[in-house]
Amino acid sequence: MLFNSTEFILVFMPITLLGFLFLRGVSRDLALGWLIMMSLGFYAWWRPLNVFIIVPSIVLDFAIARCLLNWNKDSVLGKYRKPLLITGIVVNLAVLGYFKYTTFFLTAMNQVAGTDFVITYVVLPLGISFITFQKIAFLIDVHGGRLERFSFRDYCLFILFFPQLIAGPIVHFREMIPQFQNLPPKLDRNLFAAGIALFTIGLFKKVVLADRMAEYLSPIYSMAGSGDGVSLIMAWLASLGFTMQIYFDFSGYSDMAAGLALCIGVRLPLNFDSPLKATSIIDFWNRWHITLTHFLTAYIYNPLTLAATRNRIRKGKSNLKPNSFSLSAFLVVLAAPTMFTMFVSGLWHGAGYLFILWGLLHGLYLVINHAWRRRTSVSKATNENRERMMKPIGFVITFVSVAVAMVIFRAPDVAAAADILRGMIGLNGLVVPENIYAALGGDAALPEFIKAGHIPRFPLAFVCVLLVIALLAPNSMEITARYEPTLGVKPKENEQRWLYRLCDFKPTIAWGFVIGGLAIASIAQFGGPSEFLYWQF
Amino acid sequence: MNSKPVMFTAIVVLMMLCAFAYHLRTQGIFACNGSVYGQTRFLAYCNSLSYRDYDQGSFWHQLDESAYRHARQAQVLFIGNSKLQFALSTQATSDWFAQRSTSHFLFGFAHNETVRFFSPVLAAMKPQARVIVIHVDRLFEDRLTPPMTILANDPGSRRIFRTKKVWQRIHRPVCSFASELCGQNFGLHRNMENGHWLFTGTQGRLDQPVPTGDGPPLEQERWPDRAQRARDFIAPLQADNRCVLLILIPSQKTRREEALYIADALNLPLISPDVEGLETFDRNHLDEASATRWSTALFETAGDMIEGCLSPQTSLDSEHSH
Repeated sequence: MLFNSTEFILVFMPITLLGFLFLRGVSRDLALGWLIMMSLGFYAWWRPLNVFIIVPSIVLDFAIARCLLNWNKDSVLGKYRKPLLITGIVVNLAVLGYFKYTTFFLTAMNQVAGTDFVITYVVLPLGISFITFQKIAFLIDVHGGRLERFSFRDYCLFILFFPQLIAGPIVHFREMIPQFQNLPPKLDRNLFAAGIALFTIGLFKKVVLADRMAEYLSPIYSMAGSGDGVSLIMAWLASLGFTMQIYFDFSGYSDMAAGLALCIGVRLPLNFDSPLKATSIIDFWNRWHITLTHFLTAYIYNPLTLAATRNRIRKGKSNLKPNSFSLSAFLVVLAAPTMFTMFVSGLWHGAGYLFILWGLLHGLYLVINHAWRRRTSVSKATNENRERMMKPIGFVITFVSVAVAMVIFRAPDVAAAADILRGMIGLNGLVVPENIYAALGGDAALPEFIKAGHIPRFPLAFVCVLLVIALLAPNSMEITARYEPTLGVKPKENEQRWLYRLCDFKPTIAWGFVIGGLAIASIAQFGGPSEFLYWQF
Repeated sequence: MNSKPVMFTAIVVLMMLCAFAYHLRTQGIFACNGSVYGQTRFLAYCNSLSYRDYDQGSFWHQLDESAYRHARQAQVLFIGNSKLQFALSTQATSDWFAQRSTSHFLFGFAHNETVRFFSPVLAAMKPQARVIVIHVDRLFEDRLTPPMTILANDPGSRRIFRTKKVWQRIHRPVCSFASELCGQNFGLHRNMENGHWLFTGTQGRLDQPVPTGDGPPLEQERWPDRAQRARDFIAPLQADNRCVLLILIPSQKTRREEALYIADALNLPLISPDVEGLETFDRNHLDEASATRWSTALFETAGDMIEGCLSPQTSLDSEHSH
C-alpha cells in the first residue's frame, strides 16, 4: 500500500491510528499487537504472497537471534555462535540475492559467458533490501552483546512497523523498541498534530513536487540515446530535475514515515538533513539517506578499515595518521574500503550496471574528498578565511557531482546516460527558443552549435522553484523541530533567520489551514502515475 | 499564538475529507453514473483519473466469478475491441441468441486490446465455445495497452483491480441512493451474463455523427507479422473442432485491406456485411441505430454459419476449422 493512496489515507491510516489510540488506553500489549497485525496487513496489501516470504524469514531470524543470545560464550555451544551468525547473515543475503539479483546475474552471465540460462523475472518482495539490512544489523548486535533481551513480539514490531517497513529508514532494535515499551498510556496531542503536519508535508513533497517533476523528465530520459542528442539546456533539466525529483520523493516518503510514527508516539531516526546544501561529498552522505550511510559505515566500511589497519600494524607498515600522509596507507585503509562500501551501496540500490557505476562514482568522489581533506590538514594551510571561501566552492562542486551521478542513476541504459552527460558539457549543441534565437541574430550571427527549437519553459521554471525550496527553505525536520520529530532533532535556540522563524510549526488554527491547504493540493494530484522510487530497494 | 492541537487536527482532517470527497467525485469512480449496475453489471471503465480501466483486470484476475464463468461457458464467444462491443451490444444480438436458446458472450475490450492480453486469458479460461467470432481489427498488433501494461509488469496488479472492485461496492449503493452525488463522465458497464456493454454518461459523443468508410492501408510492412500472430492465436482455438469466424466492423477509417490480408493468410473468410448509411458517434464506434442495423445484418449473413457450427452434425466444423 502506498502512503499516497486513497485507501491508505481514508481507510488504513484512520483505522490503524484510532485502533491503536483506543487500545493504548486499555493495554499496551494489545495496542502493540494491533500495530503488528495492521503492519502485516499493510505489507500483504500489495501482494499477499509476500507474507509467505517475510513471516518465515522473521521466525528463522528470531530463532537464530535467540540462540545467539542464549548460547553463552563460555558454554559448550558458545563456539557455534560465530558460525551461526555467519549462517544467519548468509541466509538473509541469499534471500535478498535470489529475489533481487537472480535476473541480473543470469542476464550478465548470458551476455558475458555466452551461456543460455532461461531468464525468469522474479517478483521482488516489498522493501526486501531495507528489511534484510535491518535483520542483519539485529543479528550482529545480538552477537556483539549489544542486546540483552527481546521478545518475539518486539522483534516482529521492529521488523514490521508499517511506517518504515517498505522504504526505511533503516532502524536499530535498541533505538526503537524501548520507545514502544515506554509509550505513555495517554496520547500526546501536540505530538500527534506534529505527526499529521509532517505526514502532510511529506505527502506534498512526494505527490505535488516529485511526481509532477517526473512527468516532465520521463520523455527526456526515454528519448536520450536515440541519436538526436540531448541539448545543453535539456540535459541540465534532466539532471537537475531528477536530482530534485528523487530528493523530494525519498525525503517526502521519510517525512511521511516519521509523521506516522510520531502520531503513534515513536520517533524514527533522521534520514534526510537537507543533503543538497552539503558543502562536500562526505557532508552529502552524512545528510542523504543517513540511516543507510550509518549501516554501511558500521557494518561494512568500519570492519574493512579495521581489518586493513590491523593487517598493516601486524606487518609493521605505516597507518593513517592525522599529521602525515602515506599514499599506500590511504589506498589500503581508506580508499579501498570506501570503494567497496560504495560498490555495495550501488548494488543495494538496484540490480544493474548503472547502479553499480553510480555507487563506484560516489566512491571515487568520497576518496577524492578524503584525500583532499588529508592533504589540506597535513599542509596546515586551513584557516577560517580559507574555509569560508572554500564552502561555496565545495557546495557547487558537490552539487554538480551529485547531479552528474544522478543521471547515471536514472538513465535507462549507458547510451542514454552518456548522451545526457555529453549534453551537459555542450557536446550536443545548444537549443534556444526561437524568439531568443531570432533576437540573437539567427543563422547569420550565431555559431553552428546553437540552434532554434522548443524548450519547455514550465519544467525549467519548476526546477528553479524546487531548487529554491531545497536550498533555501527550512526542511521539514527544521519546521517541526519544536516537537523533536525524529531522533536527534532538537529545536534551535535563538534562530535568527526570518524564514525559519516564520516556518516554525505550532499546531495553531493558522497552521491548520496551511497544512490543510497542502493536503488539498496533494489529494488533487492523486490518481496520476506515482511510485516511490525507493520502495523496491 | 497558542497551540490548539485538537483544533489543528480537526481542521486538517476536515480539509482532507473535503478534498477527498471532491477528488472522488471529479477524478474517482463517482465521476461516473452508478445507477445502472443492477444485479448483473460491473463498471468496466470510468473516464476518470483514478479509476479508468477495470475490465481487463476483472478477467485477468478472475475477479467477477459470474462474468468469467459466463465467458467460459458461452457457446458463441466474440473476441475483439471496443468497436465489437458497441456494434454488438444490441437488442438484435440478444434476440437472435435468445430465439435459438444459445448463450453468447461479447469478449471485447477497450484500448484496441491485443492478443498479448487475449492469449494468456483464454489459455487460463479454457472457453467452451463451439463458435469463436473474432473481430480482426488491430487485434494482432504487438503492443501493450495501458491496462495490459499494469497486468504484465506490476506484480501488485491484482490489488489494483481488486481495489476498484471494492470501490464499485461503495459506488453502487451511494449512486442508487443519491444519484446526484455521481457524475456523468463517460462510463461502460459490462453485463456479466453476456458481456454486453452499457454506455453511460454525456461525454465522448461528437456533435455530429460521422459516416463509416474504408481508410487507407496503414503499416503494410507489419501485416505479415500480424498474420503470423493471428495464426499463432487461432491455432489453439481451432484445436477442438471449433468454428472460428473472422468479422470486420466498420468505422470512419475501416482497416479493410489489412483485415482481408490477415483473413487470406489464415485461409478464412472475412464476414463484413455491407450496410448502407452506417454512422459512428465518435469516428470509431457505431451509434445505437447503426449498431442495431449492423448486428442484424451480421446475423443475417453469418447466422447460418454460426447455427451450423452449433449443430453437432454439421460439416462446417471441418470447413472452417481445418
